[in-house]
Order: sequence, then C-alpha cells, then structure tokens
Amino acid sequence: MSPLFTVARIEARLLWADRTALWALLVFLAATAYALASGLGMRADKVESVEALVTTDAERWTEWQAEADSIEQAMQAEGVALDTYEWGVRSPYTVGMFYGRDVAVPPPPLSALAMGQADLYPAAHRIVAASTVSVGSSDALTSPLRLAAGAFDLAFVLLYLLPLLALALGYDLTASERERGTLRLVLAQPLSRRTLVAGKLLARGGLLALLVVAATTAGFVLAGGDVARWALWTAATLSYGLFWLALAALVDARGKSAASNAVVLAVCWLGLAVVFPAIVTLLASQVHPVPTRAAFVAAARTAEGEVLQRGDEPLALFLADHPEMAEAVEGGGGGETYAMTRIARDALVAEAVGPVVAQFAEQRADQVGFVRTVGALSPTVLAHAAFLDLAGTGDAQQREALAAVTAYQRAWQDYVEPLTFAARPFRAAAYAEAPTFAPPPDPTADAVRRASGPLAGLGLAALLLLGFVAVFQRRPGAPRPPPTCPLVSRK
Amino acid sequence: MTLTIAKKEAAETLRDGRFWWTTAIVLMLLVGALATGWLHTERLEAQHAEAASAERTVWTGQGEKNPHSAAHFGTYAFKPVTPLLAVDRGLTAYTGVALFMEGHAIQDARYRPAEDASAAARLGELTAAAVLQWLVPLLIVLLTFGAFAGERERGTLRPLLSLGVSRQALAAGKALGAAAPLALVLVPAAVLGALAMAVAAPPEAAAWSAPRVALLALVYLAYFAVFVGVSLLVSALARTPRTALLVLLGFWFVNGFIAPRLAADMAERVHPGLTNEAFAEGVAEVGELSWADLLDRVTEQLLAEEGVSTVDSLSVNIMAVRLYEGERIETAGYRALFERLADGFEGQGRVAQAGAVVAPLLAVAPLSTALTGTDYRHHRHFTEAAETYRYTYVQMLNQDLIDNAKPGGTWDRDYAVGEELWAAIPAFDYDLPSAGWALGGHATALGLLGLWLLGLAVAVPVAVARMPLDPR
Repeated sequence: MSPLFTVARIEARLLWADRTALWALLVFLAATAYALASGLGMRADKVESVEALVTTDAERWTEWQAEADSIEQAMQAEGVALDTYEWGVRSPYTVGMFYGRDVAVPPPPLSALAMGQADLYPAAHRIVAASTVSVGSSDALTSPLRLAAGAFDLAFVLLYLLPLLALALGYDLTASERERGTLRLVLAQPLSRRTLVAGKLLARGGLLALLVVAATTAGFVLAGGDVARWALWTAATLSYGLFWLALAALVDARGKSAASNAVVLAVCWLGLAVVFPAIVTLLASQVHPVPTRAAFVAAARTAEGEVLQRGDEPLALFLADHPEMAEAVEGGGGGETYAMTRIARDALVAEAVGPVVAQFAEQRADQVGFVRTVGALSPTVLAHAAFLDLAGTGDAQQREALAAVTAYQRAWQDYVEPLTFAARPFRAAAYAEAPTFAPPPDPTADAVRRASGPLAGLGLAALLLLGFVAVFQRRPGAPRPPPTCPLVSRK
Repeated sequence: MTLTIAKKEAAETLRDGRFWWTTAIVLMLLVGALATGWLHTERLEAQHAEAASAERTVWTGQGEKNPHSAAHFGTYAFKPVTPLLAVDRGLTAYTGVALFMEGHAIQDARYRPAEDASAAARLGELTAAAVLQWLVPLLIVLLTFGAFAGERERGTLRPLLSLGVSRQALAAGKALGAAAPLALVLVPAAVLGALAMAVAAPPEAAAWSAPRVALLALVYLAYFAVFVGVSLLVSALARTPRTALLVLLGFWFVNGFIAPRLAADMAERVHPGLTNEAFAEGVAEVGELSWADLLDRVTEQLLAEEGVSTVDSLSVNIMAVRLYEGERIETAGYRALFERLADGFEGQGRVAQAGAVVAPLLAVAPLSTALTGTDYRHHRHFTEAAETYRYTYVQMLNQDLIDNAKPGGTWDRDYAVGEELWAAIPAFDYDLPSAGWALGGHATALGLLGLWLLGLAVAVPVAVARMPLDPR
C-alpha cells in the first residue's frame, strides 16, 4: 500500500482515540440532529399556516359565488334586471376592493435546511384593487427576537460548527508530535514531509467528508430535495470544510505549538466568519446607502395628499387615459363613482411614487451586488449564499415571490377595473373566471446557476489553500529544550 | 502582595507586542463601528424628522372633508431613532419603522429595515456591541488562559507559593493583572467616546443617554469580570495550558455563537406566540361587531336619555354616536389581541434570558439592547404610545361629528370641515422612556448576571485553594 494510505489509515486510528476530535464530532452530530428537527418543524408550521390560508380563501370564494348565484336566481324569479346590484357579493367594488383575495407563497421544501430570508418576509398577502403601493409591506407575526437571533437550521450548523470541527481536527496536525519529538522519528522513515501531511489531511478530510455527506443526505432525504441541489450543496459544504482544514494545516505548518495554533485559528475564524462579513455589510450600506422607508412613506403620502387636492380631476384624467372605460361609465353619485375615483387616484399616486420605488430598488440591487462580490473574499459569505440559493430562500427568490404577488395584484386590478367602471355586476361567471394566484416556481436550473458562482469561489479558495499547504512546509526542527530558568521563559 | 503580583502580570502583558497590536485592532474596529453607527443614526434621524414633518403637512393640508374620512386617511407615526443606536442595533432591524394609524384598525409597524438589506446582513453586523460581546472576551481568554496553567507547566507555581504568597492573593493579583492592561486601553476609549457623544449630540439626547451609558459600562464590566473569572477558574483546574485554552475557546464559542440561537429557538418552542390562525381569529372576532346591532343599542339609549320618541327629534347625530361607540368597542378588542401578541414575544425573551445560567451572553445581550433602547419593550412602548394617540385623535374627529353634524338618524353627507380641525389635532409627540424603565423587564438577566459574578467570586478562590501545584 502506498505510504500515503498507510499514513491515512494510522491517522484514522489515532483520531479515534483523540478526545478533542471526539468531542467536536459529538457536538456536531447532536447539533445536526437538533437543527434538522428544528428546521423541519418550522417549515411544517409555515406550510400548515399557508395551507390553512389558501383553503379558507378558496372556501370563502366559493361561498360568495354561491351567494351571488342565489341572489341572481331570486332576482330572476322576481323579474328584476340582473344589471343592478347592491353592496355585497355582486358588487365589483365590494369584491374587488374590500373582500379581495388572500394569497400565500409557500416556503420551498429546502427551507427546512436553510430558512434564509423566508422567515423575514410575509408569506401571506391580502390583494385588493387600488392599493398598488402597499403590496409587500410587512405585517408578519414572527417574533423579532427570533428573527434577530436567526434560525437554528442545518445551514447554521454547517456554516458555524463545521469550521469548528475542521479546526479542531486540524489545529494539531503535527504540532504535538513536533513538541514531543516523535515527528523526527516518523520522518526518519522513507516518507516525505509532504506525504505525511497529505496522509494526515486525507484521514481528517475523509472523516469530515463522511460527516458532511451524512448530514446533507439526511437533510435532503427528510426535507425532500432533488439530486442536483443535493450534489451542489454537498460540494459547497465539502469545499467549505476543506478550506478550514487546509487553513488549520497552513497555520500548523508554521512550526509553533498546538496552543499557538489554536489561538491563531480562533482569530482567523473570527476574522473570516464574523468580522469580515460584518465589515462588508457596513461598507455596502455606506457605498450604496438605501434610503430609509420613512423617506419612501413620506413620498407616497405627499403624492397621496396632492392627488386628493385635485378633487375629481384624477378621475377625469384616468378616463382620458383609458377611453375604453369612459364609454361605459354611468355618471352620478353612489359607490361606483367613489370606487372609480379611488382607482384613478391610486394610479396617479403609483405613478408619482414610481421613481422613488425604482431608485430604491436600484440602490438595493447595488448593495446586494456589492455584498456578493466583495463578500466573496469570505468563505462564510460564499457558503451562506450557496446554501440560500440552493434552498430557494435567498434574496433573488424573495424578490421573485414579491414580484409575482405584485403582478397578481395588477392582474386582479385589471380584472376588476372594467367591471367597476362599467358598473357591471360581479356575476357567478365572473367568480369562476377571476385570475388565480400561482406561486412562482423555483426551477433547479436557476438555483444551480445562482449557486454556481459561490460554489466556484469556495472550490477555488479550498484549492488555493491546499496549494499553499503543499508548498509551505517548515522543517520539523529540533524540539525546544525544556526551560532551565523559569524566570526567563515567556508564556 | 496582591498589588505586586498584579503589577508584574500587567507589566508582562504590556511588554508583549501581541497585546498591543490585538488591542489596536479591537480599538480600530470599535471606533469604526461607532463612527459608522453614528453617521447612520444621524441619517436616519434626519429622514425620520423630514418624513414626520411631511406627514404633518399632508395631514393639515387635507382640504375640506368629513372628519371620519380624515380618520380613514389616517396618519403615520415614525419610530424615533435612539441616540445609542450606534452602540447596539438590537432588534431595530427587525421591527417596523412606520406605524399607520387609522380608524377602526390597529396595525403592526411596517417596513422592517432587515427586509431592505442583503441576506448576508443576517450573518451579523459590526456594532460596538459586537466588538464588546465577541472580541473583547476572546482577548480576555487569550490573555488569561495561562494564568495558573502556564505557571504550573513551567514549574514556577510551587516556588511562587513557597515564597509565602497566599493562594488568594495570587488569585486576586492574577485577576487584577489581567484586568489592568485591558482597562488601560478600554477605559480611555470609553471616556473619549462618551465625551464625543456629549459634544456631538443635541443636549436632550446626551441627557437621555448619560445614565444609560453609565449602566451599559457597568453591565459590560460585569461581563468582562465574568470572563476573567471563568478563565482563571479553568486555568486553575486544567491539566495543561493547552487544555485550558481549548476549554475556554469552546466556552467562548458556545457562549457567543451557539447559545443565542439555541436559546431563541428553544424559547419559541417553550413559549410559542400567537399563530397566524389564532391572530386572524382574534381579528375576525373583533370584526364581528354588528354595526346594525350597535345602531339599535345606541338609538335605544339615546332615545331613553333624551326622553324623545322619534329619532328625528334627537339633538345629536346617531351615526356619529355609533361611530364613537364602535371605535371604543373595537379598539378595546384589538388592544387586547395585540397585547396578547406582545406579551407572547416578551415572554419568549424572558425564557431565552433564563439560558444565561449556561452562557452569560444571554443575560448581557438583552441588557445591552434594553439600555440602548433597541429591544422589543422599547418598540412596544412606542407602538402603545402611538395607539393611545390614534384612539385620541380618532375620537376627537368623532366627537367633532357628534358636536356639529346635523342631528337625526341619517348620515350627514354635507358636513365637511377643514384645516381648523386638522390643525387643532396635535401632532404625535413621543418621548423615549427612562433608563430605570428600560431595566424594568430584565430582572432575570440582571439576576443571572449577578449570580455568575457571585458564583465565580466563590468558585475561583475555592479552585485556586485546591489546584494542583505540579504539572501532571
């Protein structure tokens, strides 16, 4: 057997006897089990909530349709013209602007593994006509304390505990052996330094890989994901773990004590995993500041105030823009004119606020882009981005979900508007033909495409560090003699 | 004797180049975090103030309309920015900034800043609190892990004690010697920071912040003392310095990064808040108020009070009175519901604080957010003040209707009022609560922090008394 595999085999046996490694292993496994249970539970709750909402909405819709039908039948029996209607289930004003529809975007299956941004945005929205500006404003019931702390899901375990495990496995690659003096003995055999280190890394890397694959496979089987995402997720995690293991090997190659290694690695971890991402976020908010929502609200309210001052002019303007509706308008007071005025005003406000919203979205996109590019220098940011993209709970997917809801609001308004302006009743057929909301799909191809950038970055980082480890190997050197004069030695 | 040991320890540390550049980095990060936090706070304050004044202009410029229409046009309250936001962001990113106040409804604050930030922002923000809660404890661990274990391994512990130094004096000396260099660096920084804020901030903000900053300093001092204590304890009992370091690093890691998330997760399990369904049910229950029944009740009552037999002979407009009554009833219902929701969140927070038995950060972090005014209780204080204002102004509008609308049983379509009424309603004025109030809901955290200090004050001397003097 080649010396590499011999070394690996012996190292594996030694690892088994090492208490530090065993502890880190147990903690990792326990945390994974808890994380999977917690994540699956959280998702199950959300799915239940979404399903309850969708069912209630569908039932209500059917109820109203039946009511409209029975009212029409009664009217027919009495010989009343079906064109007339009152406030209620046959009025497009009531149904379009007061009742509305409840829509919900269900959490993707893999959100059990990486909750990401899915807990931050409301899953459910009430869609009514003449309220284009307020779609997407949050009214969710998640505890802000829970949001601030973050979810204890598999992504968290892999992002924070996996490095701990890798560093625990690798911080003492050769340091203790060097101190004890046994490294020279081992290297006296026909074995190069490089092969020894490679063999040790192989054993540790193998253990790490085994754990990672077990954790991700268990997660994907329990949560229900497809093979392509599993493959990329596992690849990302393996690269991430390998990065930290290689970093440990690199620090160990300095030739100092194991305790010194532990100190340096702790500082490196803090820097790369905590401080650097925080600095990047900070820089992003300075370089591409997003105006606060207070400014946005002020703009919307000022626009609303101005539009209100114009009295009936908005309606006239609207009808000038939409001549097809002007023909059918039946003038005169009553709820219809009020509904039409509201739609017209809302259109004007949306137009006035449009530039503000666009600037907002632009600055935000710039900020997110900055974080993604500059943040690529931290493997934690890369791995985080990869996990979220693959799970379908990242920035992009949330924007898509919001866009789908906004588009549905538009479709709903387009459906209800003509009826309102023509003062035509909301008939049973109208109920059947009303647009329904379809949550946006999250095709695997898109997820793979988005995650491929971070994944490539992770792979590159891991390979780079391994390269450094291969190149930079200090001679073992003589073990330091025991201190003779205690008062002279340093800590 | 204690002082001599402390001086020697401190001198050794101060001579170490590694101490200086690590503290330099920590200070740089601290200053950077405070500076950027300060700029951010100023920007936010300016935008909120502008938005509030724009809102007032829109409100008073509504034109002539029925008062109840104005109640539905509503008005916004913008959450005030706490002057200490630069120190700790707390929950401000996860609570809304704008609260819409209209008749017949109570809403949650809208637009959480976290929704407008990138996903990576969830990984952590660089604030002074982050530096003080994560970086400084690591520094403490690195400075003190070898206090006893290192001496023991070098073989200098036994000779030292044979010189007649008592174990307790040694323990106290080591503790002081570890704290002194840090204090040398952190105290001037803190004083400078406080002075900078006192100069740069407006006087009311400075006055409001002063007691809170003092209390914050005490809390963080206690936190650092806990870490010094734990380090000395582990160092005394560990076999080798390496074991001490590994145990302490593990403690630091679990305390700083695992415990907060785990505690929040378990708190939600143990103390689940209102589910979406329960909340929707609550809202539906309030909405079940039958306006027709209410009209009958109000009519009956008014007819009896005025002693007339027909609605048209009444001296007030029935619809206006019904609006007033309806608002009163619905507000009571909604308030009860929102109180349940908020109590649920606060309960979760208290359960999470109980985890401080294992990890002191679980006591310190909530105290830090409370003292900087960025915790959930402060958000609730604001929303409740806004709610009181909402009820007041809506009822003022309804009262105007009662006073001036055409008496009788039908809605007065022609009654309209203008700027006189809008301007008569005062703008929403909110004062941030005091420091004493802030600490009010955190008895658990304070108690557990105190317990840690007490426990260590007992455990460290005991451990030092019993520690082995020779390396194994």
